[in-house]
Formats: sequence, C-alpha cells, structure tokens
Amino acid sequence: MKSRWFDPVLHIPLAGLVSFLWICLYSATQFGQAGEAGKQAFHIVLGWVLMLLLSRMDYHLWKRLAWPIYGVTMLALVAVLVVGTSVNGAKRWVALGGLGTFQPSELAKLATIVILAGLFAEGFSWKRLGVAALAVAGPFLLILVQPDLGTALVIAFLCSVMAYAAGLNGTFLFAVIGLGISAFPFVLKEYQRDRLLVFINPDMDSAGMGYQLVQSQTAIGSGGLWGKGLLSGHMTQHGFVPENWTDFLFTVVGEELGFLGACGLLLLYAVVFGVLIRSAMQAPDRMGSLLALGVASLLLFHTVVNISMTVGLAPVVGIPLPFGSYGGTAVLVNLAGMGIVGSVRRASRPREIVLSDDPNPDSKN
Amino acid sequence: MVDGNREARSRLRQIGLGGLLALTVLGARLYQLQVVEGAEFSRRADNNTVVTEPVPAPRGRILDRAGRLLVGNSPQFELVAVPAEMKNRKEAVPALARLLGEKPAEVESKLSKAAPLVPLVLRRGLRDADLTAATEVTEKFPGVAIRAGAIRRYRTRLASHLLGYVGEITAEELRVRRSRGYALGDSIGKVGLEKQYDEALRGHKGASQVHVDVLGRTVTSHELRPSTPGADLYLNLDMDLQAVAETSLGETLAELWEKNGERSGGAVVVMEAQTGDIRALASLPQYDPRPFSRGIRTREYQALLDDRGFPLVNRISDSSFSPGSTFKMITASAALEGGYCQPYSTFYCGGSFGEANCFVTSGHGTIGFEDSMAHSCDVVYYQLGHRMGVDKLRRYCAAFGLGRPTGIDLPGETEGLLPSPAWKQKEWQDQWYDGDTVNMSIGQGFLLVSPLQMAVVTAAVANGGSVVEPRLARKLVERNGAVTKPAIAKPGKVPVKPEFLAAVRRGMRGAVTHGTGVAADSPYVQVAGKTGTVENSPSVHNRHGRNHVWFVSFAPYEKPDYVCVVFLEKSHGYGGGLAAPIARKVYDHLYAPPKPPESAKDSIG
Repeated sequence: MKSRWFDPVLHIPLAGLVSFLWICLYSATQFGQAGEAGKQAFHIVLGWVLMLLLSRMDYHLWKRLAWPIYGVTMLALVAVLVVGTSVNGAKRWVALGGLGTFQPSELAKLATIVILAGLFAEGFSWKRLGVAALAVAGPFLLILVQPDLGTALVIAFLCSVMAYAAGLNGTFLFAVIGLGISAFPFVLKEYQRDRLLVFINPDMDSAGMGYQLVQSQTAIGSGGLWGKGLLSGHMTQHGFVPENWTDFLFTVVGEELGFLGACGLLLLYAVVFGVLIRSAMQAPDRMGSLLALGVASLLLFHTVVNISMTVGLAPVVGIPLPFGSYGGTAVLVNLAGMGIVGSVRRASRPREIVLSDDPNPDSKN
Repeated sequence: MVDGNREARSRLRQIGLGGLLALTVLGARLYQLQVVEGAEFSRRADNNTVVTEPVPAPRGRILDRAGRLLVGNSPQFELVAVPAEMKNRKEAVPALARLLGEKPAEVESKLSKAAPLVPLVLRRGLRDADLTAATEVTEKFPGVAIRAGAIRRYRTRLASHLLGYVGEITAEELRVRRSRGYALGDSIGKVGLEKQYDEALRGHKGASQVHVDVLGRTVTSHELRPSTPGADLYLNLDMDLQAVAETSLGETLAELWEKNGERSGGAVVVMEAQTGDIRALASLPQYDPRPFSRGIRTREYQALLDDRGFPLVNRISDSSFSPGSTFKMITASAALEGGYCQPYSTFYCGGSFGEANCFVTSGHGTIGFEDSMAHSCDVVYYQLGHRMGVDKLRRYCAAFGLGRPTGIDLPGETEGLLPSPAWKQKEWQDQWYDGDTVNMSIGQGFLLVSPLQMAVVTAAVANGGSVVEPRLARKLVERNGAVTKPAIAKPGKVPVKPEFLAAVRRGMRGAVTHGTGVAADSPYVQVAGKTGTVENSPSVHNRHGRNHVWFVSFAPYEKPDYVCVVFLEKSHGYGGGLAAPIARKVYDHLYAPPKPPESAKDSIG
C-alpha cells in the first residue's frame, strides 16, 4: 500500500543523507559556531515540508510559473547588487527583515531548471536554445558580477546538461564548453585567478589562501581508514580548518569518520543521484524528465565540485555541499528540487494505481 | 518517455554513468589521501596541533642553618605576548603600555626585539587589581595572554645582597649556557646565591606533549618526562644573628646620615673562626629583590641607580677599601716572624715618623709591642714596615690571603689590590718610595681589601694561622633526600709561629680591655679586636673626604669561635667609637644567657 505522501525510494536515502550531514555539521559547529546546527535543523524541517507539498503539485504548473519565477529571480538578483549584504567581499545576501537573510543566487539555480525544462518540453530546436541562452544570460551575468563564480558555473553546467539531454548536438556542446574555458583567463577577477594558481601550487601561499587547501587535505588525510571518531577530530574540533561548517564540511567527514565514512557518504549521494536519474528516465513526459535531470545535475555538480575542492582536485570556488553546508536558502532550494522530482515520480507511477488514485490526462501519451 | 525515445534514454544513461564515474574518482582520491598517505597526513596534522613543551621544574628553596625558609616560590600570574600572533599591534601596544605603566615606545621596542614565536613575559607577578584589567586586554587582542607560573617569594627582608634574585635569561647568558639545558624565557639567578647555585637550584625541566587549538590554547597534554625539582639550599647563615647585625648596622648608618647629611654604607661579617662558615653577612643599604623577580621597571631600576646610598653595591665582598690600622695585624705578625721586633720589645713614639704623623699626634711616648696594638700607635708600625721593606710585607699579605678572592661561594668577588713597585710603575709611571711602604704598613695608601678579606685575616690570627675559605652554603638537599655538601678547600697556613700570633692576639685583647676598642667589651664574653680609621682625601664619591672606619675582632679571646668584622664608609668618626659597638651587639647576642621565654621566640624578617 503506497502512501500519498511517502515515497520510500526517494525519501529513505534522502533522509539518511540529510541526517548524516547534519550530524557532521553539528560536530563542525562545536568550535565557535555552537547553536548554528539547530538553525540548520529548522531549515531542514521547513524544507522537508516544502518538498512534500511540492511533490503533491502537478509539475506541469511549473511551465506557467516559470516566467513569473524568472522575473522574481531577476528582481532579487538586481536587489542584491543594490542593497545586498557583503560577506568576504561578495554581495550575495539580501536581508529579509525578521526572516534573516536570503541568497537569490540559490533561487536562480531552481529558476534555470524550471525555465529550461519548460522550453525544451516539446523537444530540442535551435530557436528554443536561442531563447534559453538569452533567458539564462540574465541571471548568469548578474551572478557573475556579485561575484559568485561558483553559482555561475552551476548555471552553465545545468544549461549544458539539460540542453544535451533535450537533444543538443554533442560536438557543438563540447565546442562551446571549450570556448568558455579558454575565455576564463580573460574574464576572471584577480582573486579568482589567484585561487586557481594557489590550487595548482598550494605551497605558494601556504599561510594565506593555500592554508585553506593544505589544512583541508591534511584534515581529511589524517582521518585514515577509520577516522578519529565523531566529535574527536582534533583539527575539526579546534578550528584548524577554516569554514568547515560551510563549504569545507566534507573535511569533518574525512577526519572524524575516515575513509569508510567518506565512502558511505559518497554512496548515499550516488544512491540519491541514481534515484533522480532513474526518475528522469521513467518520467511520463519530456518536461518531467528534464526537471528530474536538472535536479540530479544540480546535486551532482555541487557534490563533485565541493568534494573535489576539499581533496585538492578542484580550485576553491564557493560551492556548498548539498544538504550539508550551513545555509538556509541552499537547503530549502535543494529540498524544493526534490519536491519537484517527487511530483514527477508520482505522475510516473504504474498506471493502474495512478489511474484509480489520481487520473492525469497528460500522462497518457 | 516511458514508451521510449531511445536517444533521450541513452543520453540520460550517459549522464547518469558520468555522474557515478565522477563520484568514483572522488572515492579513489579519498583512498589515496586517507589510506595510502593517511599516516603522512596524520603526522602533518600532529605537527599542526602538537607541540612538545618543557615542564618547568620548581626552583629549590633557600633556608638558614636552622631550616627557616628564606626564599621559596609562590604561584603567580604573568602577562605574556607572542609578537607574531599579535594582530592589530598598533592598538594593542598603547593598551599594554597603559596596563604596564610604561611608555608605548618601550613596549614596542621590547616586542620588536623579542623572538616572534616565543611568549615574551611582559610582567610577572600580576597583582589581583591588575589581573582584571589584564584579562580585558587579553580578550581584546589576540597574541596577548595571561599565564600561570611561579615567582620567587622572599620570606625575609634581610640579606638581599647574599640571596640575590632571579630574572629572565638574557641572550648573552643563553649563548654560553644553551648546551646546559637553558632556554629562552627561563629564569636564571642573576646575583648572589641564586646565581652561584643556579644549576643546583633550578633542577631539570621535564617535557610534555601538548595538543593545542588553532589559537594555541592547550586542549590536552600528557607528560613525557617529569621535571626534577631543584635542590634546597641550606645556609650556614643564622637569621637571628643576621637580624641583629643588620639592625645595629642600620641604626648606626641612620645616625651617620643625620649627623653628616650624607649617606654612608657599611658591612658586617660574622664568621666561624676555625672553619670559615658564615654566620651573618650584612651589607647596607640593600635593595628589595621582589621587583627584580617580577621584572623590574626601568623607572624603579633608575631610582636604585640614582640612590646616593648605592644600595646595589655589595660592600662585603665586591668592594674594597683601605684597611687602615686593622692591617697592623699583618705588619705585626710579619715583624715578629721576620725578627724585626719581639713580643716584649718597647718603642718610642714622638708623634711622627719622618713626615708621617701618628694617630695620636702628641705621641705615645715609650710603648710596648702589645700596647702598640692596643693603642694603635702608628709610629711603631711605620718603623717596623720601613725596616722590613715592601717585598717582605707583600709576602705576608699574600700569605694572609690579600690580593686574591677569598673563595666565598658568592659571584663577583673582588680580589682587592695588593700593590707592588712593579704595579706602581705600570699604573702610575712612578717608582715605589719608602713613604709608600710606611703608608702601607698602617693600612693606608694603595692597598685595598674587602671586609670579607679582613675577616679571613682576623680568623687566621685568631685560629693560629689557618687561612679559611668563607662558606655560605651548608648543604644542598635534593627532593629525593640526597645531600651534597660543598667541597671545602684545605686552608692555607700563614708562615707565622703560634707564639707570635698569640702576641698579636694579646695586643688585640688589650685594645678591648684598655685601648681603642673598649666599646666592644662585652659582659658575656672576652672579645679581642683592632680598630681602624682610614683617612680619605675628598673625591667624587666622598666629597668631604670623611673617614672609613673598621673594627675587626674575635671571641672568645682564649679559644676563638667567631670573627666579627664591622666596616663603615664615610663615617667621619673613629673605628673604636662607631664600629666597635656594633661588634659588641653581635657578641652580646651570641653569648648572652637565654632570655625569658616570651622574647626568646624571635622570628626572622
């Protein structure tokens, strides 16, 4: 007997992932940020409710909501540049009075997925790609000037993957990606270029930017096979890894839970990612498939880039670990994405049950 | 989709496989970091967070002969700064300067001269009142901290020249001692016994492994090797006697200050005549050692340097003066042994010898050898010295231990000055005249001795010719009970026959019974002594050319146990009048019958 609300295939691994990461966040916040883990728990609960609500919604509604959401995102992105709060030299947050702060660039990721899924719902065409490119260029550029290179890259990645899935020619796509990468040296700001150089040679600035990279790898490496035990990682518990409750949360997993714990986490991510890809493959229509794929790509890109950065395989760009890094907006957006996939999954349930339960004309192809 | 767009499904499958491949690559990287290189990273993480810190050893205590504590240790808080960890130094320095009561420039110069990573002690012994203010500063400025430590605690205000003090090791001291386990930031004895016995008192540092957090705060620590506390130093000093010596010397100096309008200093030595064990050793004025052990402020140190009483000068063993007539002990011994006179010889004093006047300018008339000591007739000794010549006189001086350090266990001892014709030629580009010999034979002129050297000379006369080595330390007792006694040098022998020394002693006894030293006559013991009054010409430190005065003595006369030497500089008086009464107070204390119980339990300090 299936419940209307509970989707065990998606919800069980997701719940495992979220709790695993929350425990690590709790451990990371013991040095100097005690209490922040509670706030994060609140956001997770809020996000979970949001997910359940969105999964009860007909995802075809997103086609009509896409442009209003796009408008709101653009307004918010402009607002952040005008009245935004600056943290570490980048304007990324808007104060929402008593509600705390809000990060519009997180919303932009979701808006990108919804818009592209809507545009390519009827299949790929060059005209639609042109519209999509023009539409996404807006938020992309606004985010790039914040500056938030990481999120801009996320949006570029989402576009590439979703366009490819919709049917874009592979050769053309790789040519564009190649061009984009070769433009890097010309568009990067000086501090971004420095980050790249430091990534290539961390010892160059081992007391400054390289410190972060060296400390991060040292913490993870020192965890060994078994780890030092939860709440017992010396570097984690005593502030030797800066930002380990935000972008560098993975160092806590590495140091305290060791190789086995880190592999366990990777496995959880892989299961959730697999479920999302499978949902895309089983979606009743192209729009549903693209929505699920977009959310899957969002999760994958964040996970891979974030962990790569902590283990020294990628330069430091501000990309949080999904469901883990401290930050309310990111948690809400990620869980909202899961809710959208949930609605796609509901629509793709075996017909005999769906029919008796929730007849949906659009799913009859 | 369900009924199949093959191309779309295959593209999704590619993306899915690509994602899983990326996650697998991460897993491989983790295997490399955590399993293959895990040990190396673990070591690096420890380097990051583990430091081996020395565990300070408690410093040994200093106690007197009765086991009364003179110097111990107290817990204390000290303010330290690690220059490299100080973030906003521009703001921190004025705040520190306010707290320390120093100029910002001074604090800045200290910080810039210090090793960047080693905690620099800015102030030891923070008082409770300062502690609150200091805590505020440490909370505001990273790199500044309060640390617990130990500070020397003085249980007595006496004998500061002997006890000395400890202070932070200087770069120069460290350079020569690094191989012996000293390190930057260590305390080291700077003066006195603290310096002399530093290696025994300091013990051996232990080591502990300390996990620190990113701010350098200790998280956990475990001991690798315990520290060995320093040995306790027991002295021959008798603090009750020391108190008597300092009190009576201090009273006399206070009277002189009032009378002369100029500050004088003085010294008292009380030593066992047979062994050289020091029972009391006073040098006044003295200083308070406590500011030194907490780190003296420039202002405080300048005040000590500017003090006209020169409280930093140790007048017992580090300074030398003309011995005056007390030197007649040596001239007399030499003359008797050399056959220039006999114990029963008589002389005639007409008040002068050549151009040199007698101490009693009217002359002593006909006078016997012993009375020449008792009444301190200069003319007799002018004649004897003149007849014997400078070389012979010098030989006896050297035999009595003049011209070289006595070997007392205190650092920085003077050797005095034993002049010779060659020395005079070199220093003064002038020949040695007979007049120089005549002057020297009554202890005037070039010859310089320390009060401690005079105590050794007096002891040699008193004990029958043994030149003892004065000794402050009685024993060193380690925490495990092991006792070390200081090595005692075999005393030198004065080449003077016992009966001649007995004649000198008779003369000295006469000085106390009916001569210049009657003020030292104690009702409790037979004292023998010799006065000395040194005539001075006006000089920078003695603008009015006031007399130095001496009284050297021993008791009991028949079988001497103690030697007592009293010296007063710039006193404008006579040895018999000013110095002898102080010696009498010492002997009264030593030989007076026990007092009624209520006043018998005198405490020190």
